[in-house]
Amino acid sequence: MSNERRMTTVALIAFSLVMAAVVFVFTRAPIEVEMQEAQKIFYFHVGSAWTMFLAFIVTGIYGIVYLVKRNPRADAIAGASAEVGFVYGTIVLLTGMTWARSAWNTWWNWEPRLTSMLVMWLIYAGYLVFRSSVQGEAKRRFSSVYGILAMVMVPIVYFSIKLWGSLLHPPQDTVRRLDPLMYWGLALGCLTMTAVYLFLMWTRRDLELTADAVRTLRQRVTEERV
Amino acid sequence: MLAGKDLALQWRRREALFVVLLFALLVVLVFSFAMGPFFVAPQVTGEARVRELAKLASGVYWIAVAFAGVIAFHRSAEADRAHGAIKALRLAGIDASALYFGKVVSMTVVLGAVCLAMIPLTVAFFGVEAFEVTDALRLIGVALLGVVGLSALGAFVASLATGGGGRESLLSVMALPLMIPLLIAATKCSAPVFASEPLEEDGWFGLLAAFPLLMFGLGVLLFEAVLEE
Repeated sequence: MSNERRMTTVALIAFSLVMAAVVFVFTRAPIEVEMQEAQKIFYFHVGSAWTMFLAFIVTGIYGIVYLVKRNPRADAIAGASAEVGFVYGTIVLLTGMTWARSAWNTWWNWEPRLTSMLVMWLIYAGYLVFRSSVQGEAKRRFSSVYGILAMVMVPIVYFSIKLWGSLLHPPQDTVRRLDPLMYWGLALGCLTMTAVYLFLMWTRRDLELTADAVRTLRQRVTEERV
Repeated sequence: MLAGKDLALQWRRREALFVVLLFALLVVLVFSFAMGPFFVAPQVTGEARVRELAKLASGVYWIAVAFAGVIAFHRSAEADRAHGAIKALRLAGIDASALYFGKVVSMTVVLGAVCLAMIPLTVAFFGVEAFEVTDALRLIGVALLGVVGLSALGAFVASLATGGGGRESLLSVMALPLMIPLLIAATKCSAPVFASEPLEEDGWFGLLAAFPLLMFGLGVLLFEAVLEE
């Protein structure tokens, strides 16, 4: 039961953090001069982006763990993390586009960070498609390998697109000019998104393990009937 | 020797190899049609025109190579899986990294041939007039680096995708996003070559040269896990 208890605790923490972040961001954080309220996206956008990176690193690391230890739990974590990371990536892209619309009056402007997000999103879309097309032990082994490969590629994609895009836009150092209250909002946003990620990832992992167990049981039932 | 086996196989089904080549040619052709016969507005003349055309030529060239590559990788990996060829080689005591190496070499040869055949076509179709024989040599150099990188990545991802029983479309979904950094680097390095200008010092060549090494290291480390049964 300790697992259930831990899940409840994480869920509670995540829920209270979400509440705190929403209240803080909309009542305490200052309103930005140029973008007005639209700037509030920033806290959740950056929080999601940070969590997405975290999720993909977790996928890669648990891929390595699986290849070394061959424990299905490690692969369940890797898969769950990739899936949740993908959802976060979608949030980053959508909020990023909304940001681009209100700041630069365009939905998409090949801004390097947004572009590299898109490429990473595609890489992990590939991971998820691949993962769902393979079964059993091969699925765990292959998706671990692909997860590791993807993790190594993420910084290269990031670097190359920065190099590619820097010819279009000079990089902006927005973070340095932040109001201290905005800093706190940002930190709270990141923390909240991470807590939600942990909750979702662990739930997804348990689901994966349960599904595996059910599959094994069903197989045994059919075998015994024959 | 392993590369030799792979190449012999490819050669024995050369009509299929011809399909890869034809496909690359068609990609160039389709892009030429899609962008119309006048790729750059007639007002743009002189050096600017050459540069614009070279950019287009370089982009289309690498798109064609990448797409043709996906087909070639899939064919090669599938041939290995069919009839348990990989299993037999493994039983013969051949190292996974040796198999990987052989695969990369054979794919480099196949794609290298595609690259070579595509040079005159791209130059002719896109009318990059400044292009000279020395530029062709430089382009071969750039293309070789790019092709080794593509093969190192493609051979690896293809055995993953076909190992999982995936089809070609799965391979393209998995491989193309991972190829993006390499493709940008290769395109950026080829554009000045098509325009018959010196390479720019902006880090792309470094990425183009480093990518194969990195991919190769990863492949050697992880190929064992892909092949085990």
